[in-house]
Amino acid sequence: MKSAVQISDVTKAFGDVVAVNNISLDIADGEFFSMLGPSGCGKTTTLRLIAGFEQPTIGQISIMGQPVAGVPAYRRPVNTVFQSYALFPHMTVAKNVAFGLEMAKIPQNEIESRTNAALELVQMGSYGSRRPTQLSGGQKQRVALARAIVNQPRVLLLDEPLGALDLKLRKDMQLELKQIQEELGITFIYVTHDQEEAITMSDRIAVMDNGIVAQIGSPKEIYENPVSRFVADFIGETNFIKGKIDSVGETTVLDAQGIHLVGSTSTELKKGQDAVIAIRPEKISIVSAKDAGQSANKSAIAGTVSQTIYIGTDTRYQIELTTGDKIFARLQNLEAGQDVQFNKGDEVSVEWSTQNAQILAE
Amino acid sequence: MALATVPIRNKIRKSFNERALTWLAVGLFMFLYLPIIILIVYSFNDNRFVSVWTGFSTKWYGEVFRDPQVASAFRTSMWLALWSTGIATVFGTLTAIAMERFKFWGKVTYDAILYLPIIIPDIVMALSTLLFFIMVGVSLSRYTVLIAHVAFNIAFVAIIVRARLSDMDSSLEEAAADLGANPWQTFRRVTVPLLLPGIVAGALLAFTLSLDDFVITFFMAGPGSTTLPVYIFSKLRFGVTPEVNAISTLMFLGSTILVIFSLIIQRKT
Repeated sequence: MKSAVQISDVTKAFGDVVAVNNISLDIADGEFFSMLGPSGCGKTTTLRLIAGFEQPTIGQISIMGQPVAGVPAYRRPVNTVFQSYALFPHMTVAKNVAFGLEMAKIPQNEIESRTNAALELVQMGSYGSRRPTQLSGGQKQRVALARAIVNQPRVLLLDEPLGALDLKLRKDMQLELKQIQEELGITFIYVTHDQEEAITMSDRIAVMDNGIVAQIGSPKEIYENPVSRFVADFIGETNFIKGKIDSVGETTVLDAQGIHLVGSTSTELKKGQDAVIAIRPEKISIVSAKDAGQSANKSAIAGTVSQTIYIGTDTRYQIELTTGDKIFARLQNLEAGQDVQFNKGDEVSVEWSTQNAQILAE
Repeated sequence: MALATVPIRNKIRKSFNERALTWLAVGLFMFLYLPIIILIVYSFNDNRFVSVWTGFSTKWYGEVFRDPQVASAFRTSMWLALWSTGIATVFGTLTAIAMERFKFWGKVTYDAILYLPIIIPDIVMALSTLLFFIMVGVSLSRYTVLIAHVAFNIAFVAIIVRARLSDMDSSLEEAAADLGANPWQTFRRVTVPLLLPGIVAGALLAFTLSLDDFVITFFMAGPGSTTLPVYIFSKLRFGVTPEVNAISTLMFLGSTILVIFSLIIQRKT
């Protein structure tokens, strides 16, 4: 597959602060690629390096196979949707959208038809003569998108574009963005701190932490097989139980205060090393203490239900384990009117299959 | 009981304070504007002597408009104001952009001293500029006055434009670059239009300051650089006449209109 953007060993420092620390990314043509991480992880800086607003301190970036070192932002075949939208307040919506085409010296009649088509695509066809100040946040968002895609860039950079929208609108726009991306077939590089957003939209995600890439993979890979405690913790909800590595092999065994817990692992671990086992709340099953039983591909650990929280689709159980760890499990409420399956104070055993638990270095 | 009386007493005291402050404000406004009002009223006095009111007349205004010396002083004032505003607006705007957008050696110091012409007394500014011209051997003319006016106007323009610039979202300029605009196109199509209210407000203020300046102009004045304020001053040697009142009224009116424009433009956007 052809690369749209290649980032090779790029470091960006602002004075003493290293914002991006020796990262390498290969983003395929037509891919919906997300950079996900907490604020200050370097995701926006990476985006700005691709856009040309910043120059790497070390390393090289190529866009569509062309190295772009020294190429100013206005000559790069990428367009950006800014977090603040950055619509020109002194121009109408149509003039905003036409700006890039005018700069490219496209003939006037083509500018008009392409501007209209872009506004039509984002369902803002009738707003051309408005001023940006007369638009709502969601409408500004659409105009910012139209202004970027009207130039038919090979790569579209989006910097937390839905960050300022309310939840409902954000969900709608997520679907719409994904649809537009598939329709136009352009590469999207999407920066977000919202893990749910990244998971629902992306083909691949780079989880970033402290200027480095912690993991790259499909949403499923990242959710199911996180390679570090940070990734497991950042993406979705995870329970961690601490222990020491007891044995490594086909499955890895963690010794948590004498209780042996099995899980899979994708990283190198050594016997005796401090580690955690990570289990998602929905992958835990709860059985009564009397039905407890450990088998070869199953871990079980005893505990007491300390809290039950009804949240509509599921019920969340907080269970205090004999190891002292508190974990959450969630069971789906499949039948209307059903009672909670367990009550506060019940002696239970929590169990999970080996493939559903990851053992990660502490 | 005690709890109930406290708010009442506070209320009384507050309304007393309110009234006292209102009267103080009125008194201050009188103090500031009464002389100007008297000046305006007496410019319509029929009598030759300023202090004796005999009837309403606009004849002094007629005289002002017929006086060739006033016309010449007015032309000099306008020439100075227009040129010093034009030059100061261009350089003041560029200075503001450099100060706001770029980092360079000695910026902090430069930042502090840029505002100095606003703070230092006119007489000091006038004297130092005069000494400077004498030292470098430039003979005084309307051009030396122009240079001095440009010098203080740049500071005012730079401050107003810079305030506007710091309110501007810098991602707008990045957005322009992102859409293929080179630095010049970005400047012309995005930066300048967004700064325009600040630039116009700065220019109007500069124009007013140049028209109104007396001290610096008087010190710098060479042949052919008699401006309206300098002309009024020279007329005063022969006593205050209603004609002087009329010229002053007209100047007051002109300056006020310019300042109001400048404020409206700054506030509107």
